[in-house]
Amino acid sequence: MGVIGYGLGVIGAGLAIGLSALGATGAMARQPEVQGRVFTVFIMGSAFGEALALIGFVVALIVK
Amino acid sequence: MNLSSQKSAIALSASAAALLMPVSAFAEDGAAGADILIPKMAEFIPALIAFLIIWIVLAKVALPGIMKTMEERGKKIEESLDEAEKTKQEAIAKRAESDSIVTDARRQAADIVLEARKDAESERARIIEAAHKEAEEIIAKAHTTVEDERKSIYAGAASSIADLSVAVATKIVGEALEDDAEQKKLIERYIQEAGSLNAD
Amino acid sequence: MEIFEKLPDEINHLVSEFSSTPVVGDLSCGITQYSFWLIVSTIVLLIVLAVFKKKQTLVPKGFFVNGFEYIIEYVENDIGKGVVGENWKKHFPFLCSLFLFILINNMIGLIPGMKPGTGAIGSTAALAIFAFVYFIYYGCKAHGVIGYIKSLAPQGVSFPMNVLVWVVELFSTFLRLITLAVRLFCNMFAGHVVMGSFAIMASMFMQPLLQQVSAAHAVGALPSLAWLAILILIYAIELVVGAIQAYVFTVLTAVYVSEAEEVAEEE
Repeated sequence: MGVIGYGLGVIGAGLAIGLSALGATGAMARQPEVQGRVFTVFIMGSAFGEALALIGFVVALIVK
Repeated sequence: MNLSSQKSAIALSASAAALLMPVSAFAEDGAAGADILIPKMAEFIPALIAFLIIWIVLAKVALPGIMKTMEERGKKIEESLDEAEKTKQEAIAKRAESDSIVTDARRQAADIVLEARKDAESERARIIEAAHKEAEEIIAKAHTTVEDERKSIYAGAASSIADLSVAVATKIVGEALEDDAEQKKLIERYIQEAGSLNAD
Repeated sequence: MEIFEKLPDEINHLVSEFSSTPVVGDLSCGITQYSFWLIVSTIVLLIVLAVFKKKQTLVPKGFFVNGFEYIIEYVENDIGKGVVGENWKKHFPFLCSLFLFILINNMIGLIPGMKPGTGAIGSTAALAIFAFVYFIYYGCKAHGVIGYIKSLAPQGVSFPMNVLVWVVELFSTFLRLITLAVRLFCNMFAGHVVMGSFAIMASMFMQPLLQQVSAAHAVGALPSLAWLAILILIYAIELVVGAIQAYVFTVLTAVYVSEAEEVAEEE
């Protein structure tokens, strides 16, 4: 059961990372000179989404 | 019928899954419980102390020196750039100045040469003219001298010819002519007339 | 296959190994394996700082000096000037020490045999409490204590909604403490658990081959190569994740500080 819960949680994280990548590539395509700043924001957005997924992973490991 | 058989199938699979899952979990009581999420003092206090140490060391000891060096470097770079710019401007100005001096000097040199040449030309002309004039003077003087010489020679020749012809006439006539002086004057007159013919 | 049946037990065993066990003393007053490595990384960081301070000249030469200066300048430019704004110099030592501390701990945890000092909730909770107290302190210094508490509610909203939003904002402010700690801890913990599981799977698949070299066992050991490849990939990812988590922690602290300190622009 815990594993199914974790799987459902990762859907949200995957959506988060995918959407941030979408925004990042769109911004870089429209204005290539802001590449550095946009890349940093992309990495930060992915880090937040991944943190939530990993919290789910840990909870799945904890709950018996 | 379909719906109920579907529902029973789902219920069967769900219960099978639920039955299968706990088997592995009960087999070993090894998974960490929720207590890995509870902070423990044994880690909390060393972390507090360690971070405090690092914070104090950085703020008091390390960072002032590091930031000072970086700022110094930035300032030095800026100063060097400014100085380089200034030196470049000065170099450009000096170069323009020296260029104009050289142009001036060249022009002056050309002027001097021109003048010198002109002077030399006029000097040469003057010298040549002076030489010509002097040559003409010398020739004129020589002519005059020659004329004088000739006249004096003629005068001498006239008197000696007069003497000679009187002596010859005396010899021829046989008698001494009295009044030498009158005869001489006559003869000189005749010689002069004859001599002027010679002078032609 | 019997290997896949033994796997959950092994992984449970692995995960239980990750909980803190005291090396000296007991759990409430002593040193666990994580605090030990925390102390080791503190000493390493102090040594690195001393060496850097000695080697720093007006014209930097060499990889170490340039690299360290790059890190400090990165914190100064991107986090200090970019997020905090004008008075970044006041907060710069705290942010810089946060970043360097977390970075060194994460990196040392990646060396095989060593554990990250931030891999236990106790130490990340300590860091999060530091950051929390720091930004509340500066918020109170900027607005006064009552003023800071009042400033949690947004300005342009009228009376009843104001209180509701204020309650939510208060709750979310306390939640910042928890999310900071848990985010860092979970990233470090889960990363090492995943690396450990793939290592266990690789070794379990190799075991029949090591016991008895035969063709069937050799074929059965082939998936080990796949697990090893994934393990190397995850190792690289963990390197990046360690640096990113340090950066995210510091940036979030900077954001909270700048948000707590914003004064009189709310007119």
